[in-house]
Amino acid sequence: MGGEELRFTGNWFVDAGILGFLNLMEEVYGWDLEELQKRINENREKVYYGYFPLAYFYNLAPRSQENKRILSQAIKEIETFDGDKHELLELIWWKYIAQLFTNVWIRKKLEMMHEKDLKNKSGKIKDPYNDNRYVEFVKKREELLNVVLKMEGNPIKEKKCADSIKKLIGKREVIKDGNHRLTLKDFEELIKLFSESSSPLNELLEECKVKTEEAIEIHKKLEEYLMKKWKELSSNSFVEYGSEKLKNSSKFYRLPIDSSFYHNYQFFNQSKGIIEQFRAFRDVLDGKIHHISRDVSKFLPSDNEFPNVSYTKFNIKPLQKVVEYLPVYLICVDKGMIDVNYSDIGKILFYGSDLKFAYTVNRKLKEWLKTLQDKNSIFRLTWRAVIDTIVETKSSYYLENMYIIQLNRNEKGQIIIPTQQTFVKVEYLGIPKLHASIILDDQIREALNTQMPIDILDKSKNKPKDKLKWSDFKKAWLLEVFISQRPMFPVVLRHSNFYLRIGKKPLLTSSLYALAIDAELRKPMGAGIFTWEFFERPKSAVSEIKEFYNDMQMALNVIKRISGQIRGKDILPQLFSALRRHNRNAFVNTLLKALLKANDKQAVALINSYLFKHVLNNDSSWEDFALALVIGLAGGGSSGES
Amino acid sequence: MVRFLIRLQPENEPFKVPFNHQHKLQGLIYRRIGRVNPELSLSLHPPKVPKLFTFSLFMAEKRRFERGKPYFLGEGGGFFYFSTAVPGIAEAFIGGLLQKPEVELWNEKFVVKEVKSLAEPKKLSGKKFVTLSPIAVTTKRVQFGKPRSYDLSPSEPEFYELIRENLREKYLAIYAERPPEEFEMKVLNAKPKRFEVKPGIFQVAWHLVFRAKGDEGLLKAGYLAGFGEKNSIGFGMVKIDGRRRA
Repeated sequence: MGGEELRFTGNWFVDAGILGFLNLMEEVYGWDLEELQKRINENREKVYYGYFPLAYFYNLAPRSQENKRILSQAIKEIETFDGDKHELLELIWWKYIAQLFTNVWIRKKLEMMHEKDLKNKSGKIKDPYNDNRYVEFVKKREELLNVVLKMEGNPIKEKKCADSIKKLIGKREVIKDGNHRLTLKDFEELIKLFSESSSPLNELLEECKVKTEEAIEIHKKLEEYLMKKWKELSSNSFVEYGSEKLKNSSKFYRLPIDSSFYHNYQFFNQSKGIIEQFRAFRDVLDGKIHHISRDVSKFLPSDNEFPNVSYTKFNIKPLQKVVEYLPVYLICVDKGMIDVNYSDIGKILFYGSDLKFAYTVNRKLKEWLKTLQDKNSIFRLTWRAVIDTIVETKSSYYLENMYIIQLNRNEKGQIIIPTQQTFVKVEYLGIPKLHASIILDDQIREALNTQMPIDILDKSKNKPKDKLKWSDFKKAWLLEVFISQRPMFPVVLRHSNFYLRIGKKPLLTSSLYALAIDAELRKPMGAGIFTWEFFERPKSAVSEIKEFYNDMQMALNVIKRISGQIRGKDILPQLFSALRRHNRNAFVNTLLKALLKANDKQAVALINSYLFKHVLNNDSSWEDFALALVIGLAGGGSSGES
Repeated sequence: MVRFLIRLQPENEPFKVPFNHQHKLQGLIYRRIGRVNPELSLSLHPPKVPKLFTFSLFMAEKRRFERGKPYFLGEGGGFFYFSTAVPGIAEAFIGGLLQKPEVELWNEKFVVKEVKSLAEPKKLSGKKFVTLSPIAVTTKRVQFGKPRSYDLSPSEPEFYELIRENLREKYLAIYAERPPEEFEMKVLNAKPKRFEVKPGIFQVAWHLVFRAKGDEGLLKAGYLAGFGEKNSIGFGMVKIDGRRRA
């Protein structure tokens, strides 16, 4: 890849990351693949050290108008920045990324309502809270709240303070063993009531009111203090991240980021301070990460659980020679996958060996999956997206190298809760070389990309035959049957039989192509995957299918012509029955008997020749050719609906 | 799958069927083949070459004999079987019948009522066979100082030897492979018949019930193209005993 442009590597995990990188940049900046390639070509350091970090953390930060403003301000700064890549990263990190998390950081600190929560087992203040003034504020607020909630009222006239507050905020228990049990949310509810000076407050004891207001005051001061501290951090003047001052309070300023996918990886690790987070991220950009483990790839065995497995830590150094920003992509894998919010599906990824193709298909898939009705239709939607893209891009893509990768399912197809120790599964849904070569033909693909009615969806409605609409039919998608490597003969048989029952003519082109393909696929093939046939058959398959198709079409047209003479419609039930029972003799005999009545001798000769060539002397696929004749006798039909 | 039953509807009933009728039936087959594929028909004429097709005697649903007459009277329709190891021959013959179903045999008029393809048995070795047309085996023997054609009987070991060699020849012609040796037949019942195959030319052939064992390929060659000689003039067609008639 050489860093010149984005391109797939052939390793699906890395490629999922590249796709994720592209998705991220598109989501945040609206750049499509072309634009991103252009930007990388123009100034890749700006992309990887400026735009990317900003996008990555913007994506992890809460969505708010304020953050949108910060983003656009940062973009302007990156655009005009003219300096070293590391300077750019520092600028973005301290000035903008930190700002994106202001509210989350402050809130996380405010949520600590008790002093004991700030301490570890030995009674020492924990690193993330190690700031004297902060601890003092928390302590003071707690003390005041304890005082308020312990106040006794006049036994006759007034309620206890705790009871009144309980009622005000609607909480069952507000104090236990002398300690308040208010959460930040409860306290904020109280603050809201006080700010409104509403009538329910009249119930409170005067002293209770005063002390509560004091606690609120302390809380506000704490908030202001935290805001000031965070602003200092994200202001340029404060950035002396090498200084002792920041080193000691690095964990206090930890960026509150979390990822369910990377869980404990580098900058997501709860034990890292903001400086360590920064350095870890810079190492990712600089490519200083040379090993990946389960932290990054859920497909690697756990280092702790499987110490005897040699590849629990995977050396990526050789790969980095080819893919310069490999670690960058590796932390974007989750963005490459599509979250399916249906049932137990989890994350899925369509993967092919071409970035543009995979990107386009995934984009379509993401859009279409929003309307997902049942989990089985993922396959259908994916193939729709694939076919749609092939048709659109006229891509000569090798379909045999495609996969649908699905995370979070076990062997039984059940959801796995993605805990740290869970080994996530991948499902590959590729199609064989022969099938791929067939589907690449425009004419065939178009014929198969058809919904074939095979029954009535809701029989209880008892709709008259002539009132049936397209939406009333239960349909089989031929392409899906083909890709699933199931025979199409039963579908065409059902369709023809069903359509005749309701007085319609079977779909012609699609039926014949389906039967011709079936016949080709049923042809006996030598064993072994590296035989001459394995490589050569796909090349000749399409022309053979078309030859079969032409033969079928010729026979169909001829028999259609003489259908009246031989009373074709009268023998249809017998012919269908013979096909269902796979009784070749019964089929041939019924037809031969009927042919004796025909006056058109030329037509009879053609049908006879077809019968001998494709039915009587064809043990593997006689049914396909026989059904083509039946469709002809039934009167042919329209070419099909997609 | 190249065995057919051809059912004929007579114009008049009862209809006559002469005992010596094979050459007439052979004529019909050649004419119908020639109608669809004249080249094939011509290629089936040279003598001493395995033609790889055979047919049964002409039969009737019901028949009765008239004392001293060289024919029997048939009723309820006539039929015969046709079998070949060459799909092209079957295609041409059946195609010819479909094109011209009106048939005239020994001055009797018929119309082809039905052409039925028959399923092939999966296994032949060890089965009991019954002739649908008698088996003819001849050799040259010196008589009155000259080598003359001699019709062998199942009581002579050479009968079996020649049947086996004949099957191997057919095998070679069908599969173009070195023919196997394994073939054995045990006659369970035998009845001689004397036919006038052409005016003034007679052939003694044998209606047999026999059990055959051996290589499936050899037996299949016999089942499809006929056992013994002169198959293309209506000798040597067999069926498996006990099989339901199609």
